[in-house]
Amino acid sequence: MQEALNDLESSEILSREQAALLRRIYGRELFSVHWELRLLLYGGILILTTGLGLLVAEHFASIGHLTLLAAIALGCVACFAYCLRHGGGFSPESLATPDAAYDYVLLLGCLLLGTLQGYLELRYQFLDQYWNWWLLASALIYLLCAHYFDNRLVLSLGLSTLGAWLGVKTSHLGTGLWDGALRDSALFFGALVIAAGTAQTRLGWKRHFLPVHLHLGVNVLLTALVAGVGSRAAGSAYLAGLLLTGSGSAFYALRERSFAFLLYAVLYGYVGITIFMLDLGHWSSEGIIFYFLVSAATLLTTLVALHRRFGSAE
Amino acid sequence: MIDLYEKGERRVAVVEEARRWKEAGMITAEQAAAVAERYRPELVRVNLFIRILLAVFTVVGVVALVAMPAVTLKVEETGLTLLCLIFAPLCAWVADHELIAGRRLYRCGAEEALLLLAVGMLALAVAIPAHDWGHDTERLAALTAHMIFLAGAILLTVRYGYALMAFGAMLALAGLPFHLADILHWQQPHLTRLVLLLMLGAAAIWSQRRLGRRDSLHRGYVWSLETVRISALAGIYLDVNLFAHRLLWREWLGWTPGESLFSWSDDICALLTAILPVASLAMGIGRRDRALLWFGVVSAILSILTLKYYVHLGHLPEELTAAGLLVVGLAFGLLRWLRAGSKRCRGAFTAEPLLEPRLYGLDAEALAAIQPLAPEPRMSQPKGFQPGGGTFGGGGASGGY
Repeated sequence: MQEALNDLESSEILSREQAALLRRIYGRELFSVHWELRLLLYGGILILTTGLGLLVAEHFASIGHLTLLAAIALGCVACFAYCLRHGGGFSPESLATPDAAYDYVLLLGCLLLGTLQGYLELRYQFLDQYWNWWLLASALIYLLCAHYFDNRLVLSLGLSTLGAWLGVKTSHLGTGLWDGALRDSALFFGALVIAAGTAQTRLGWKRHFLPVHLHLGVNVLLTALVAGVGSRAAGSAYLAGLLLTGSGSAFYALRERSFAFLLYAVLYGYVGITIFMLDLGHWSSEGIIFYFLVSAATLLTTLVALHRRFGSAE
Repeated sequence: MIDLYEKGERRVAVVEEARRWKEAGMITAEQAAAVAERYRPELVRVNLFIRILLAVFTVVGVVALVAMPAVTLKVEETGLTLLCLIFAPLCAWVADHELIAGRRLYRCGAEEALLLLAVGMLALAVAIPAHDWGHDTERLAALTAHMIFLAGAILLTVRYGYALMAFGAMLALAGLPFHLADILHWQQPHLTRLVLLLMLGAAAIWSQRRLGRRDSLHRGYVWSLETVRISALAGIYLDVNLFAHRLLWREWLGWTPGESLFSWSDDICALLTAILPVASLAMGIGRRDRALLWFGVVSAILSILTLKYYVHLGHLPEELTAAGLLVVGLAFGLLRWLRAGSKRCRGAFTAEPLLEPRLYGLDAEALAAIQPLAPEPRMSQPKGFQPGGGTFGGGGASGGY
């Protein structure tokens, strides 16, 4: 790399200062421990919350419920107070975090809030069989925090908690309806997440949240559609939906050069089509192998053509 | 490494590094484009996700291709062996001659999958026919297949610099003592562990010594050696960590503690579980070695979480809470200390992101934080961008670079 830096400097592609800085980085005269320290912080929070959880479970009888509740609530309030004090307030645009601990303090606050809600329900059973509403409340608070404090980690937490609420709510419908209803819930959730992300982007509101919405939404939607393809009643409808969503995902991947979405489209689409094809009738062993041979050859040819057309290396 | 990769890999490395410089805000898009143009590699590369897809469907296609004559001709073990022996060199030839030498593919998925399949089929060709030849022969054939896979993975690593193959070789190496124990009827699991430990230790020391000359090595080799070193260290750590040790050896492999060969092994385990993270961290800091630092941090966190298997300072919840507070406090203190230094540096170290990967969802401050360290981009510059230091004088270097 040092040779290349000399060459780029002498050909005036890099300035003297840029080449000097890069030489120092590659020569390890300047060494960043940014992610190592973040990993240490994350690991510390993981150990701390695990320890606190065990502490609560083991000693709640001796410490007393109110003391524990107060301690958790206090920790939660302290975390949010820190974020409110150090954060820049709401902005529809992306915000720079004020310091390295900010993201983790917010995450800790959100996790403590979840612990507080769980503890309250476990101890006092305010909502009894309707306990899943706590999940909805958590999801909404997390989403609010994600938008106010501009944090994509908490946004992921909020969206997955919302998904969990829908899943738990669906499970109350009973065993007979379970499969279909869960699929429908997943379809609704996936579409909702994608729609919310798209709407936000169109409104110019937290545009940088769109990838989080799309990755989660597309995966949930495609998983639900693939799961539905095998069903006797509406397999064709699910396959049509899968092809439509997969095409959309592939189109987005090629337009935005975000090839992860192409991976989703091709893999989920292939699994869905294979399930549908093999369900169609009685296949001989040769027929099944021939199907895999032809489909793999077709996809390889298509992928090579796509790479040539779009120059996917970069 | 083959001549094509030796020449082309340097260009690929420069172009890929230039993209990182651009993403870190150190150079402009125009500069990155100029670098890409000047160092345009002759090798064909594809995006990581397309690489995965190409690898998956190559495997599907080749397996179907081999299965087709096997099913049509209803072949038995001998026929399947014959098919493997025909297709293994064919796969290797297509990958090496047609795709790499002919089409100049470089880590595109298809050629990697074909080479892996070639090695796998060669190993299967040895293992399959021994199925009906008695228990001892079967075990011997399985060991031979194992050795073929190990040799093949090493060969592919040396010839093409594939880090994934190096990982495969390390997995095969780690499995070797178990196979040997099966063949040689070792009744003592401790002996297997000792052989495993010695083999992994040798691999770790060898790769560490080779990495000492990393500047003169090709990128593919550096990645492969890093893979060997970290896999060996991770294997040693898993072997000596008592939690993993008990889970793996006593529960999964059904070994009872009464059969212990070395009474002192638990003490050695405890000592190594403490020493490995500390030594990795010390070496990582001293040599500014990122892989060792990551290994040190992760293994230190794991050691804290499994602390109860070694020392009992009190109850587990109190231990974990105290350890968590200590780790958070240490990380936070280090962050503040590094940021309070001159130009946010302490010696060679800084807590600011330079060319580091931006982990998803946690990169909000990356561009803002880089600005005090970044020099002024040479070409166009966005309005309002005011870098904090055009020259660098920290860390013992003069400002007159």
